[in-house]
Formats: sequence, structure tokens, C-alpha cells
Amino acid sequence: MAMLEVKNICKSFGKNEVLKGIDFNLEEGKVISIIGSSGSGKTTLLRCITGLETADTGKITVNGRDTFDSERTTKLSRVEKRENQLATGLVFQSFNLFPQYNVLDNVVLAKKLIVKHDLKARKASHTEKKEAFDAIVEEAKDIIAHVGLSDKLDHFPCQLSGGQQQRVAIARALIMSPKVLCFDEPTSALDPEITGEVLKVIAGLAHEGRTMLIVTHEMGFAREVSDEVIFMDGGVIAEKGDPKEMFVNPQTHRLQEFLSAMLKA
Amino acid sequence: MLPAGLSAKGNFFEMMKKILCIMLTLFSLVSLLGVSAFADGEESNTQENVYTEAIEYCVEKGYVTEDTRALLEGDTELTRSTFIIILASHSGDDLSGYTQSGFFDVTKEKDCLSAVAWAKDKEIIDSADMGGKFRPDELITAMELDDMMYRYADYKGNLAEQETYLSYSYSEDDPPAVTGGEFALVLKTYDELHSPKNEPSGGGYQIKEPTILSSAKKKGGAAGKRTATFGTVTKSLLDGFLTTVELFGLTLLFSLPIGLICSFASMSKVKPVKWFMKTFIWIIRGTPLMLQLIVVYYGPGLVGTWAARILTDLMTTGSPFITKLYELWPWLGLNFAELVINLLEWLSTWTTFDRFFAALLAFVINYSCYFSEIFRGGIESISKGQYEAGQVLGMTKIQVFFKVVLLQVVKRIIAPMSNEIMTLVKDTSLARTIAVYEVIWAGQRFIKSDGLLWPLFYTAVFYLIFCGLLTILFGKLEKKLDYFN
Repeated sequence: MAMLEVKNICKSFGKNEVLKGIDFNLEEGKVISIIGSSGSGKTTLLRCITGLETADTGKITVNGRDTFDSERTTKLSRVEKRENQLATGLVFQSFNLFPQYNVLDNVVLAKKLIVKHDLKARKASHTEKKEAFDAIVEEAKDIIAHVGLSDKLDHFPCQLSGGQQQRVAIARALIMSPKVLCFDEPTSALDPEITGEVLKVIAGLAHEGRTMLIVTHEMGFAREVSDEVIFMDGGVIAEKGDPKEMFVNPQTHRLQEFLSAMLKA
Repeated sequence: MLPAGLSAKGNFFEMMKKILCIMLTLFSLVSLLGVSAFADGEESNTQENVYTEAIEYCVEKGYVTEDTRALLEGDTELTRSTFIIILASHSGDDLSGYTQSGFFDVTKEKDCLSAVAWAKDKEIIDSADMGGKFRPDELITAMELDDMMYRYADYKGNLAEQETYLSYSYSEDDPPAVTGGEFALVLKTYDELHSPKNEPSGGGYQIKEPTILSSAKKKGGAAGKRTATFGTVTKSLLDGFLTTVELFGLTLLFSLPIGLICSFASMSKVKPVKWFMKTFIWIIRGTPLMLQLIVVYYGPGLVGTWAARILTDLMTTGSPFITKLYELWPWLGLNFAELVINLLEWLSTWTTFDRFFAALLAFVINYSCYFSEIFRGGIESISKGQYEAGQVLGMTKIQVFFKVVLLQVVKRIIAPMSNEIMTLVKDTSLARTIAVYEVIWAGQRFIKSDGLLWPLFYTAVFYLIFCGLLTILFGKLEKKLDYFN
């Protein structure tokens, strides 16, 4: 059973059919890159998988759990909705850090809220809460060290460069322990010089065996890091396969056009 | 242009009359200005002192209660209800026998109703003249006052043929109003003229000098206690400013949370709610605050009288309304009609509000709408990405709002909010339109009572200091939120 199973996802916005039936699987510990021109539906697919959009038909299963099933008639409970949401994580193109919190607080905020809610339900004591929070802070510091920003714990997002902000965003997503970590064009908003530091972090995560789904324009990166590449065009998967094969030997005409256009740019 | 056929002599007199009128107007203007400019610091021989004395006299004698006193002071014009109530207590008659009269177009003030009933009984109010309606909330004209004082004197057996109480120019188109001070003076002089030691043994005498105002001029020489020092003025203004600050504080306290609720309503996905809120905000922001004050204050009383009138119609005319209602919807039963009757009964007990409460209500409604628009602008300016980031991290919508969005909104709305709040400080002065005693009125009183103009300018100092403090406060708040962008 794959970590992520996407079956026949269709999504329209009004008359505009953006996704016309997407099927693929993502095995545990593997990385899939999604490439394609704008308007092909890559971002919409990612948003459907991470719960920001609700697809019209289809089924999404994460770690054996149906996070989305169009045929389900019963309503989801609050706990179920939360579990579904936390199964995936998302790193945005424009980082979306919380400007009024420093780096450490940005990373710990969401987790503290969830733990606080759980502890309250269990009627935990004050010391238990304090212990739990301290553990979260330690964990956060580890992850922030992992992305290479230990010296910036008390800085605010407005004091960081784009690459640093994106690394904080990655740390913020990591602490929630998602089964599948998604990236929506993580380096598109960055200077070419700075993309390197972020790509390094993502590559590091891939080596550790994180299950990741990355929408990107960085062809070189996709080829290096991914186990599989999906090429989307016009709302369908036009081609998918091994990156080493696909970039050298594109099968479909569309992919050939796309790659040559990318190389020229 | 000269009308044809008019003699040359006639033209000359016409022209002279016009020139004389213009000169008189100019002269009175100049003397008025002169009085206000030079009255400062001198023993003033002004009308205003005389009126204050007269009001004090009436309070001492018990004609005027301390509460009603405010309705006489300053330059306030006299309402008919105030006049009749004071006249009734001047008479010393027992009013307990007079219950509500059959007319429903009076306010629910019980004193007024009894006083009107008493006056009608004693034929002080001529029902034929009034066309059966007393109109208590309207201002009394000089002619009406003179007329009723005449009848009153007749009733009391004090009538002397050539007594007139007020000097005025007779003009049916624009009858002059009477101020509270003038009426107090009328009563005082009435008492003085009709006290036993003044009556000659023959009973009934004639006054050669008919006008009260001219006799007061002769008397008013030594009038006017010098009470206005810098200290007393400051104290008096501080009293008024206390009301200002109370109004300001309470308005803020209520309109901030209500404004937040309104902003959510105007962003609601439920269309009727959104539509209603937007229309309401348009009405409140589109009409003057002064008008809203007046509506809030007098509105309930109007509703009350309207409901009471409908009620009497229903009761007296054998209620075909109820039978018709029953015919149309028999399945509703008599209960519906009873419900309507009960509703009307309850509505007819509505009177005007307490003044301060009415002012507070009007301000809260008005500022809630303005604040809600500022809040809405701030909330809508937060990028969607913030909400999405919170969502993918498993935060609930409420958590996202309070933990992520709120502080960002606060930072964005500080500048427009500081504007509105400073405007609120100054708008509190509008409360005087419904006779709430605040600092500008306090300052203006000194013009009437002591002929001093500087207290009015002095009120500006209070506002400046208070607004200065607010400016510093907002500056500090802005600085505190400067650590993030």
C-alpha cells in the first residue's frame, strides 16, 4: 500500500475544468516531482491533496486513511477533519510565515495549540503542560538546527532573507510530522542565488527518507532528487516516469515541447 | 422703485422708516458686540444676571425644581409643558384630583398631564383657541404666554386691565419664543406686583409701565453676584468635562465589541445578514449624528403616543379592526387580536429616554458602524495565505483569527481608529442638542450668566489636553507594534 494514493481526482471551478482525472501513487520514502506549464493544474492538485480545496470526484488516501472520498455521505467529525489535515503538510511559494512571531514561535505555534487542546481534554496538570511545551520547544530547536537557522531563533520574518524564510516555513511544516510533505513551487519566489540553500534542505530531507511531493520548475533539482517525475498538461497526467529517462528521452510530443521551452529560458 | 400714485411725502416717510430700521439694527448689533467684548471683568448690568436671579427666586419659592432648573437656564427656549407645569406649581393648587385627560397627544410626563388638566379646568387654557390640542413639546410663543398669564391672573383674581407681561412685536407669521429666564422673571415680577403689600386697599390697580423687561432694566442695576473666578470656571467646566469623558469612555466600551460583531456580519456569507448590515451601516453613516441623537431621544415618545392613539381608536370605535381581523383569519382566533392589543398597550408606555442614556445609545450605534467598516477593511486586507498557512497546520478558524490574524489587523487599523476615536471625543459635544450637560454648554453658560466669553475658549484647552493624551497613547501603541511588518 502506497503512502499516498490519488484516484481519479476531478476538479472544476465553474465552467473551467482544471483537473480531468488524476491517478498516481506515491510510495513511502519516495519523492515525486510534478512539472508542467502554468494552468496545467499542478497547484490545484496539490491544494486538493493538502485539503485547501475540495475536489469534485475521486479519492485521496494517505497512509491508509481516506482524507478525501467524494462518495462519502456522512459528515466528518472535528477530530477526523483534524487528523486528515495533519496527514499532509504544505510549504507555500510565498512562505506565508506569521509576521508577528519570531522564528521559534512560528514553528511551535500550531503544535502548541494542538497539544494544549489535547491536554485540556485530558484535564492534565500544570506541570504536565509545561513539560509538554518544553518538549515541543526542544523539538523545534532541533528541526530549526536541521534547516541551518539555529542562530536566528529570535529573529522575525521581516529580518530574514527569502531563503531563510522558506527554510523556517519548511521547519514549521516538519514539526507537525506529516506523512506526506508537499511543496508548492518552493523556490519560485527566490533569487537564483538563494534557491540553492533551500534545495539543499529539501535534498537532505529526501535522503532521510521523507515522503515528498514537489511541484517545481527546477528541472535539474527534479532530476537529482526525485524517484519519479509527473508531467501534467491540460489537467491530466501527460507522462510520468523515471527522471533520468524522461528528461533525456521524452516520450510525448507535449513534454518534448515543454522541455525545449524550459531549456531555452 | 416707487409704486405709482404714491405722494412724495409718503415716499419720504417710507424711506426714513427704512433708514431708521437699518440704523437700529446696526446699533443693536454694535452694542451687542460691545457688551460681549467689554463685559469681561466688569460689574455687568446685563439681562442675564436678572434672569439668573429670577430663576433662583423661582427655585427658592418652589415653583421650579432643581431638575427643571436646567430647562430654564442658558438661552433655552421654553416648552409649553415646562410652562404649564411651573405655572401649576406657582398656583399652589392641589393637582392630585387631575388625572389624564381624554387627549392622547400629550407626552407621558404625569406632571404635564395633571397640569394641563388643571389648566383646562381653570380655563387658563382656552380649548377653543387651541383646537383641542395642547402640543406640550412645542415651544411656547410670547403671545400664548401673555394670553395664558392674563387668564391665570383672572383666575387668581389678580387681573388688572392693563397688565401685560412681555414686550414683543406682534407678528402672526413669526411669533417670538420665550426663554426660561424670561418666564422666571415674569413670575417673579408677578409675585412682586401682586404681593399683599403692593395691593392698594381698593383692589385692582393699573401699571403704567406695562412691560416687564423695561421695569427689569431699572431694577437690574445691582444685580449679578460676581461668582466667576478662574477657579470656579475651571470647576464648572470640569463638571461638564466629566460628562464628556463618561460619554466617551462608555461609548468606546460598547461600540468596540459591537463594531467587531457588525464587521463580521457585513462580511457574512449569509446574504440577508450581509445585506441588512450594509444597509444599516449606509443609513447610520449617511445621516448626521445630531439628527440621530434627536431621533433616539424623541423616537420612543413618538412611538408611545402613536401606539396610544391607535389604542384609543380601537377601544372607542368598537374595534371593527379586531372583528375584521377575526373575519379574515378566523384560525388565528381572538388571541392574535389580543396580542396586538397587548403590544400596543406596551408600546404606549414608551416615553422619551433618560437624556444621557439616549445620547450614549445614539453614539454607540453611530460609532459601531464606523468602527465596523474600519475593522472590515483591516480584516479583508490580510492576505489569504495567512489563513491557508494556519489551516494546513491544523489550526481551527477561530484559532487562526485570534492567534494569527488579529494582531496584524490591529497594526493596520491603529491610524484610522485613532482618527475616529479623537473625533468621538469632540462629537460628545453634540449631546447638548438633547440637553445633556457637557463642557461646551458649561462654557457657554458663562456668557449668559456672567457675560464672560473666555470660558468658552477655555473649553478648548480641556479638549486639547485630552486629545493630546490620546495622541501620545496611540503613538506608543504604534511603536509597540513596530517590531514586525
